[in-house]
Amino acid sequence: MPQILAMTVRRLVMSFFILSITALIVFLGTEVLPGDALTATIPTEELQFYSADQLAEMRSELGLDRPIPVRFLEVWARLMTFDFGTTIVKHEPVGPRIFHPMINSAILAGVALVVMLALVISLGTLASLKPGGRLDTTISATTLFTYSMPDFVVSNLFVIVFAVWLGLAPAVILAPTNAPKLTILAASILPVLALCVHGVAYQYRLLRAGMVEALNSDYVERARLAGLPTWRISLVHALPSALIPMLNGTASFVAGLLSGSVVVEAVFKYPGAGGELLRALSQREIPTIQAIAFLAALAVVVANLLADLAILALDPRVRTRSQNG
Amino acid sequence: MADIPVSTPLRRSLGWLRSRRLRRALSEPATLMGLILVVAHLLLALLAPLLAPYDTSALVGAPLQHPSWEFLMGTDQIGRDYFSRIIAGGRIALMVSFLGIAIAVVSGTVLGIIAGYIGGRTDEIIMRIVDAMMAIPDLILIAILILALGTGPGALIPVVAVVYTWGVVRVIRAKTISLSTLDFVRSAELRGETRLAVMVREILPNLIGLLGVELAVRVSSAVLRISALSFLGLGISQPTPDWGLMVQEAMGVIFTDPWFLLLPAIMLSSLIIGVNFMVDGLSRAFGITTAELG
Amino acid sequence: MKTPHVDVRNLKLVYKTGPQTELAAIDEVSFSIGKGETLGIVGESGCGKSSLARAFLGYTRPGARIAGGALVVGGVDVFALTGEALRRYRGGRAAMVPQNPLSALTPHRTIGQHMVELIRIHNAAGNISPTQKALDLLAAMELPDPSAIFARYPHQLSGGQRQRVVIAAALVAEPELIVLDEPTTALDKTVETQVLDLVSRLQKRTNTTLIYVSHDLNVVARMCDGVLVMQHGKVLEDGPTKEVFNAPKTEYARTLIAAIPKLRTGTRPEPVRLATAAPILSIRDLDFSYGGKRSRFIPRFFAAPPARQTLKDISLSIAAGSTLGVVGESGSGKSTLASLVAGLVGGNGGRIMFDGKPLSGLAGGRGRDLRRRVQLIFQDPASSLNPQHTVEQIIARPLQVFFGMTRAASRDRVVQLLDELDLDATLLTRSPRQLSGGQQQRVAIARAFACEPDLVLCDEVTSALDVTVQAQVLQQMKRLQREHNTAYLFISHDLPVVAEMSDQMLVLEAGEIRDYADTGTILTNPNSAYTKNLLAAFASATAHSTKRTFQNVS
Repeated sequence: MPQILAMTVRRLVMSFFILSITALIVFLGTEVLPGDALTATIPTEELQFYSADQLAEMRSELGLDRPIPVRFLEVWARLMTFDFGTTIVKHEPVGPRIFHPMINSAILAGVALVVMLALVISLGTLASLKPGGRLDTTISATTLFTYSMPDFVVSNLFVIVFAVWLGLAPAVILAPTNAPKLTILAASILPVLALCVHGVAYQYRLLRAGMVEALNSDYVERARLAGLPTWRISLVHALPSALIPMLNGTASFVAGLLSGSVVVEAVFKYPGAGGELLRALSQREIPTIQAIAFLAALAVVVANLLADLAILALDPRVRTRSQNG
Repeated sequence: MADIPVSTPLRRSLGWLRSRRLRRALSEPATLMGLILVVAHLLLALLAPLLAPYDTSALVGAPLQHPSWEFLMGTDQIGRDYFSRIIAGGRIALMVSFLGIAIAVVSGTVLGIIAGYIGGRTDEIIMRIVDAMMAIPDLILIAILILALGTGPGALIPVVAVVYTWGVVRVIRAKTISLSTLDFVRSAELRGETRLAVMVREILPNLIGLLGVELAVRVSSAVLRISALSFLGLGISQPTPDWGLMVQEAMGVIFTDPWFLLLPAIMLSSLIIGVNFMVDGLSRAFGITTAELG
Repeated sequence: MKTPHVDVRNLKLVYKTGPQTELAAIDEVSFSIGKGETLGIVGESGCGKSSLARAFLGYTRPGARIAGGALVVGGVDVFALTGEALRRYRGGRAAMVPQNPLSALTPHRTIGQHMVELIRIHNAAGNISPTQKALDLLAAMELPDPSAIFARYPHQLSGGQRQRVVIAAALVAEPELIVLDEPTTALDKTVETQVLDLVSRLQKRTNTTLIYVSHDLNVVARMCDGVLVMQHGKVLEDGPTKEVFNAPKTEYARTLIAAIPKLRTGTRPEPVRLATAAPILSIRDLDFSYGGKRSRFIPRFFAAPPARQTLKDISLSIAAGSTLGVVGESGSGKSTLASLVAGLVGGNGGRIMFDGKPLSGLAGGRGRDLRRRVQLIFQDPASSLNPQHTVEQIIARPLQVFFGMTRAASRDRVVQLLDELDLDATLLTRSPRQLSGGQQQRVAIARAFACEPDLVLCDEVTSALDVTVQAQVLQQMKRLQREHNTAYLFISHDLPVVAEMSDQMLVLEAGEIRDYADTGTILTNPNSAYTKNLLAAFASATAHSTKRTFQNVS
């Protein structure tokens, strides 16, 4: 399969470019737009205690007096090699600090993703057995409803219902960031459910759109006229094509999932990268912000790459197209 | 005689056709409910200053009072009238989102049509920027930009515009590419129409329905993000009333007065639910698929 | 009289059109077919024939339901079947050959997976393996190298191969009834002939009852013992093929049969005109291949492969006011020829001269006058008319661009143009979606003639239309040509239509000219074997109708 290999390589190169542009956006947003990384880092009320000479000295020490393109190249090289540097004021290394929170967030998002896909695909297939039937319309209406529920509202409702009213779970998670990963996994149940409320709805709506199109296709009609059983038509003939719109939306979906998990983590005090990001934002810790934003983008790009490969596997027409260029 | 019009019942002008589809869409209770919710929210946002019995930031009574005729929804932790704050709580987020998204839809449409119609290297460059912008989760991107530019409406509007342009580019580009394969575009090119004329005269009119839906969907999503940021303490700040912020304040009294959390939550959810049900019904009536909206 | 094999009594099928309203697509239809007979169901789009085709398998499309009547196949009351029994009936006792094999085969499943799945479901393998059975069936369909076909995906096959595959799929369980829904619409005429011959050979061997549903009366006339003519859900004529075709009882059937394009080989008066007129278009040694240069009119994924020769050594000329017909099957390069002359693609070798001036490159690079004088009419008016513009805007645009007319001035001219095409001025404010296919194409023709062109390139302009509408449009085009002294480059796969329209004809195959002469000469005395074959394919297809024409003439 040399052509598939060629396509994969092409996509890898493309992903590298996209990540470079992402690094540029993060750099512009954190170091150029605020005017100056140093004055952005030091809280306004403390700024008066520094003399102009002191500031200039710190600037040159940090390399902030060099031209913007040079500084960008440096940031770019650091991010691409996963060397996230040290914080500006306290000179703490960023990498070790965000390591555990990143893993914890990856657990949260990963578990949520698996749960969502399982739910979405089984719901979609069930609904497609009788399009327009009661099950189909109920699921559609419910997902449109949950699709509209803000993440932080859902999370808080969960806290009210499960912690306040039922007393089934603690209102907030008390595990430290470096707690054993099994403890983290156990703690992730409510946050995962909260993420699923919106995520399942988002994915389901795309899957259903694909299902509707596939079920209205000539090949599904042919399969019905040839006497194939309904479940087989849904699962074997319609589902693979129906997954494609959903897979095409992977980048937006994963980005949305990560946005949502920042909020959900904050509500449940989950020891993840979301909390670390919020802390970094409030303390204006630029290297940490850069690192987390870049790693989030990396996750989105990798997910999208995997989705592209899945589409290649599902649709032979795309494979043939790749032979032509 | 044998040449029967394909769509026999549709015999009048375009405007009539549209209102017919509109009427059919609104005959669905869910769509109608959505529209009513949206209109009610818009009216409330516009008229809040007239309807509010008290100033939203004035301390008018004892803290945490229960609802009474004096304070319809009671008072919050520091004694402000909760009703006045609730009805005004969507104003800033809605206004900022609406203006920001309006800019995003315009710029996204321009870039999307150019990328889709001109194609080639122009398309390649625009789309790689789109991919990169959309790879950063929007909440993080907004947070970074807010950190740089501040949280006043003057800063939030451009932030929303910058963050949401790229999704619009993607949707419009995809539609433009499928329109560009149609022969009426070839026909215009053969007439010697300029590229600008083809894009404006031939392609743009076919995007109107999609643009309306984009505007509505993205305004609701921007409202969600801004509220989420306010909830996290990064967005709209005190003493401005904002539902996200109010939910965050209410978390402190969640065990004693969950009521304070539920009210703003219901307000925000009903706005988003309204928009989504309305859009869902209308886009079905106008033949816009979920997949097209990405 | 023995009991019929298929018996339809008072069948009524309705579509839901609103919460309370229904529309009858099939209205009180009764007829019967004997075992091993072949029935043709003909009619134009919207007459209910494809709903009827599906009813034979106890299937209605979403939104439709059987509102009354009975359908019995081999003693089985089809509408009484439910669940498992209905599922086994479909594909087991009655099978359907779908209209468009490319879209009717699941894109992500190989041909082998399709076949084996059906064989397993219907327990049709007997004492051999399902794979072997599938290979045998593919071989019986005279497909070259069945094991290679077995491993391919649908999009990797040619149109003819796909058609054979779906027929093989219908034969899996040796059904007693096969319904063929527009079985050859997507095929070239020469391939169609092969496929139809194969089907009738198989039928003779198995004594299967066949139902052909088609808008193509030639296919029906050739293949069927009996014919059913349908209009608006009702059966107008029902009888033996010869009777119906030779002596139609209803006015509609008469119009329908008269509208069939026929190959007339009689003498033609036109050539006189050719000698005197100067050529408006002349082409010398035209060469063209896609891929040499990136073109944004070709989907990007086709642009990379090594240059494929599409047109080779094409030389031709068209006299002012005359018609050159170009006939060719899919892939012959005939549409590329029109695209080159129109300026949709550029970068050809050789020379194109228009009225003594060179014509090359993309339309945008040509002068305004040249753009005006050469017009292209597209195949599909649903695609060539902007759905967001009104008829008036569509026709007025060239008037504004080429003649600088104001809105008020263009209005009168648009009305006049509509009138020339027998379209009413009330259409001015309509959107194309509110027009019928025939009206749409006439608006497209009016738009071309608004430019007062000297040469109109017509690329399959009537292929999407019903035959009676096609006949009208062709008449109007001829009249316009006479009145405006416009030359046509008339391109179609449909040889009788081209012959009808043309003074001279050119036969293209694989990008090369096979024959180029007066229409009369081509029809009676073609040079190449390819043209002879093509003529034979069309002649056998029109055997019935041609015979009838001569009877009427004498």
